[in-house]
Amino acid sequence: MRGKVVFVVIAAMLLVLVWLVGTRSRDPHVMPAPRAEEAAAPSASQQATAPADSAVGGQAPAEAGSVANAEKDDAAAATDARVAALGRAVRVVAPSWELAAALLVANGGRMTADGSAVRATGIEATVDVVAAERDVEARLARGGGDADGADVAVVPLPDFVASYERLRALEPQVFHVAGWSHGREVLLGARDGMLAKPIAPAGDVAVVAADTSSEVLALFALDEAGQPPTKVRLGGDPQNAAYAAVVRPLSGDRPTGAPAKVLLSTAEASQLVPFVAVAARGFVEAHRDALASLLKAWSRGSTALFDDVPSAARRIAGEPGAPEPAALLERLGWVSPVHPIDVAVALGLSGSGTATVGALFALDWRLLRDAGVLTSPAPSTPPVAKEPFAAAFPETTGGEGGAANTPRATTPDARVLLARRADKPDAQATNDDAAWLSSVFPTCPVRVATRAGATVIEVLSPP
Amino acid sequence: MAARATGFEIAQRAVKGVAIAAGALCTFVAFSSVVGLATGNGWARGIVGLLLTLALPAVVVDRSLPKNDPKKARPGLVADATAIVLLGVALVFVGFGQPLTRPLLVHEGDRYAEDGHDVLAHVVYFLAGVRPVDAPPKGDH
Repeated sequence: MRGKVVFVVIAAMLLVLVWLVGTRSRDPHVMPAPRAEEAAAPSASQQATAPADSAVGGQAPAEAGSVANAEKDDAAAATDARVAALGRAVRVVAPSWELAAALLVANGGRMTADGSAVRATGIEATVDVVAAERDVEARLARGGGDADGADVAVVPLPDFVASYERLRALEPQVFHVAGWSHGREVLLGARDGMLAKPIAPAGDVAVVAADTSSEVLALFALDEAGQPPTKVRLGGDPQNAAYAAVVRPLSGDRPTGAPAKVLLSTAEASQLVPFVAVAARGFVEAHRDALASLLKAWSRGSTALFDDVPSAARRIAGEPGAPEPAALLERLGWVSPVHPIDVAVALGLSGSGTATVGALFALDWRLLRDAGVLTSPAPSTPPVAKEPFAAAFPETTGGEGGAANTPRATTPDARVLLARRADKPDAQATNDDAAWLSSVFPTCPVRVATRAGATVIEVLSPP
Repeated sequence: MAARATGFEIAQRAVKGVAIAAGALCTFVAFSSVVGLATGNGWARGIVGLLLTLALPAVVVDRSLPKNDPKKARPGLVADATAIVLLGVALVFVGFGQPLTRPLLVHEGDRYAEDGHDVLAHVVYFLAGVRPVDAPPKGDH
């Protein structure tokens, strides 16, 4: 009898082991080459490195013989150099599905699929979506060499700024703008038009915010209107707050008495919250070519995503843990797609845009520090690495950039979203302030007016 | 003369044999990967891993046998104890503990791949829960 019981126990243990090992999900892992092969062919890999760098950098390699064969050999050499340099898949993590959508399309799923845009560039990538911003930080801290870590994170810029103090040792760098938040963050007030006239701060105001991005929207709007972040009290009871910064999807059970009038959102301030890709400085410097390849594939994925959103939403919804296509469609609506030339402007590689990632990083840091969220001074220079993008899209650098700030038509029923007191003495400074607001609110008319004897810069609702 | 084994007994022996083989493989890989934290030397990892894989069940079997007269032990006790010990280590290290031990196992697979043991590397990667991807061959584009 005892022998049969023991047999059942053994059989059960065996079945559990087989089930655990056989049913687990498997991340791709690039096998290292045998040491003997590497030692036997050092000259081949050395020969591969030089054309790889020049090809990615956009300089034509010296050609000998057939052009087609030379290009074919260069592509192979570039692939070998990159794989040898990284030796595994680039691990990317994002806190929500819409931020990872373009890369998921480029990758053909969480893991690189055959025929995908990522595979075509000769690298492998894994894309993970985690539940919270703190999980993103934990993965970045582990690094991509760990199966539970990440090389690259895609996050809203304010979240990156808020986490920078904790990740400072990694020296994380922004190397790409994956999109702009478009209407996800909404600022609500207790009354209509609370920001339509400059505020004369009489004391602290209470603001409740759902997350760091909405917090930055609220702090930015109040700061521009005349209520500095030092006179803003974050958190507390929503019913006693003058302002509430919320994120979509809006909760249906907000407390009665909480602010409910929409003042403005990132649909209007559509160049305030970029979604940025960040990586540790060491990784950016050591694997510039791999990141350049990833950026090329990412751009193709973004184009494919927004060319056929329903198809992409269905495909992404098939991933484990992904939301339903309808929910994903709604979320994708909060992301403005970007073209390479727009990214070049945002990174400061092209044009003379004022709302660059560097400027927004400094702005977010000042707002969060003055509000008491951050405690240390901002880095002396904004942590922006332009090299991977310049290597991937050399044709976008050094140009005039995207659309200039042209005068925008107003409609008779346009309402003032935000008014800022023009308290600087000269007209040039006032024009600079108006240009800054115009770049943050790219679809909104911005005008300089005189109200009750004072000069005011007004941002109007878009036509 | 020994009685002829029934079908159930044959099935028991087969399952125990598979359990011991699978458990021994997982246990060997587990101990080797732990030794790999201290040294990357293949001989050291292999010998220490093998010794531990043999010694652990041997100690348990020794403790399980009747002290005065080992010949009075229940038939099949040695195989049962060996299978349970090896499967236990496998379940703890490769089964339930895999989220924690995956980096160790992946590194062990990498060492086998670097040493040119492709089949063994693939087996270890399978246990670790990763899908090995070969680097694109030179000139194959």
